[in-house]
Amino acid sequence: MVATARAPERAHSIRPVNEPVKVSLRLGHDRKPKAVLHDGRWRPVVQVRDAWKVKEGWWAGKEVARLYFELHLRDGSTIAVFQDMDSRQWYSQRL
Amino acid sequence: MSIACVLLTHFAVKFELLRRPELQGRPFLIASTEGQPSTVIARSIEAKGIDAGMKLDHAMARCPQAAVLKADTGAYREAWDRVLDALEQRSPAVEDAGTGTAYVNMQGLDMLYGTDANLVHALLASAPGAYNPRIGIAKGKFPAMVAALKAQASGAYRAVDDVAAFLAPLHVRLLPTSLAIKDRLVGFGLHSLGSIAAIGFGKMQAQFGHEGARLWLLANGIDETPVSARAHEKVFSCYLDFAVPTASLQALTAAVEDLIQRAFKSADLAGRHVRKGRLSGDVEGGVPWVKPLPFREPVNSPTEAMRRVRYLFEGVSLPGPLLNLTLTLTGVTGEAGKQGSLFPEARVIEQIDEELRQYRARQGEPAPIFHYREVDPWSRLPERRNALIPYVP
Repeated sequence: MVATARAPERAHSIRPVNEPVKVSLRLGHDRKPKAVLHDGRWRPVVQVRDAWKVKEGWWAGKEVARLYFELHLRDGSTIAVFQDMDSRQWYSQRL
Repeated sequence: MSIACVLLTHFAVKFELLRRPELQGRPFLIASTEGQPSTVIARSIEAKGIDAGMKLDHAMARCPQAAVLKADTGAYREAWDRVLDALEQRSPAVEDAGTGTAYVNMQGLDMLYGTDANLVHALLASAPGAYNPRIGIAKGKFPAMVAALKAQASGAYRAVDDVAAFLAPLHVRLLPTSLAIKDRLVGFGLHSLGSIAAIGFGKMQAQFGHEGARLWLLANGIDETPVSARAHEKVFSCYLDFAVPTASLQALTAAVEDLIQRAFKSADLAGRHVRKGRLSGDVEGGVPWVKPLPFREPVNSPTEAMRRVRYLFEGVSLPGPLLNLTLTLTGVTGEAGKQGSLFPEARVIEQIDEELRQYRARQGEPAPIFHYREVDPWSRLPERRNALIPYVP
């Protein structure tokens, strides 16, 4: 994913909501998430509930390609993470 | 439909002459007590070379021998209200057009009075003779007012049926409009009402908009605005005499507390709220003292009222020893005296806007306050669905 080249946010600028946040993951042999680093602790993934691909902007030459996973963690919470197919970086995001 | 205009010219001057006969034949000015600098609101006929609206120091330089009186607007208002009350005993439809001017709907009064002459006599009798009331009768309020100006003191004048011809030679300054518009009319060479009538409706409307159209109609004697009878407000007042004239604020506060206790114990105010009040009293050797008591929220108990009074008394100084004290409470409302807003959200937004404007003035940049808005709700990328848009007050 290409980082947005923009000026620092000021009071009068439009701000996006729900921007992705970088996250560290441990992957299994199948390249699926096995644990998520959150608050300095690794939280094991109990179940991958869903997985899907998103491709946007290819028609305008600004392609964004992501592979999303919805994960159920051992502590009972559910989070969504995705891997940017361009940079290979992992992010978490509310859906 | 005939309308009578009852005109009591120079009301404040005549009121002061009635109250202080020693001013008879002497030059004096009545100065506004509101705003800075103080200006002249009226003058006696002997105070030559002075116009209403002139700054007080300028007027005193021009007429140094003139006595200066502080305007006692509350007393003028009370006296005028008494005239209106008397007029209402003669006609049910009496419009208060400001202190000294009233309009009376004459429709149906011929059944009571027989002739216009009888009615005119009755209307003249509604004010003390010293005010020299003038009555003007015409088919509309504006021509009736002009007719009243043409009437002799304690007399009446009926505008002729051809009202436009009656008004034509008169000066445009008689028109009820702003001084700026009158100046512009004169600047265009339109000095008389006849010249405005002759110029045509379209040109007046094109130059002055809606106001121009209204003035053209008035210049032609067409004034169809109805007489709107005044709304009656319940007034409650109570009074006490000081055994010894007092200039002490503590004594005054105690007296006010006593009056307020008495007021709220009375059956008239039981369970009701009051929106405003007024304290007045005669001052030994001086002009009467008047202190308005605006209650920010309607009050329905002596405790609440006194809390407000104490706040309003901060920094108050009496002009001299008070001989007596009258408390007048108005704006008496029902059980639910607090006024709600029809649009409470709008009021909240107005308050927020004001706070944000103040923030910007202090900080030099807008406050970080945003609207949460849907931008592209169907986007497959969650961060593109919504955005924070800066809130501009």
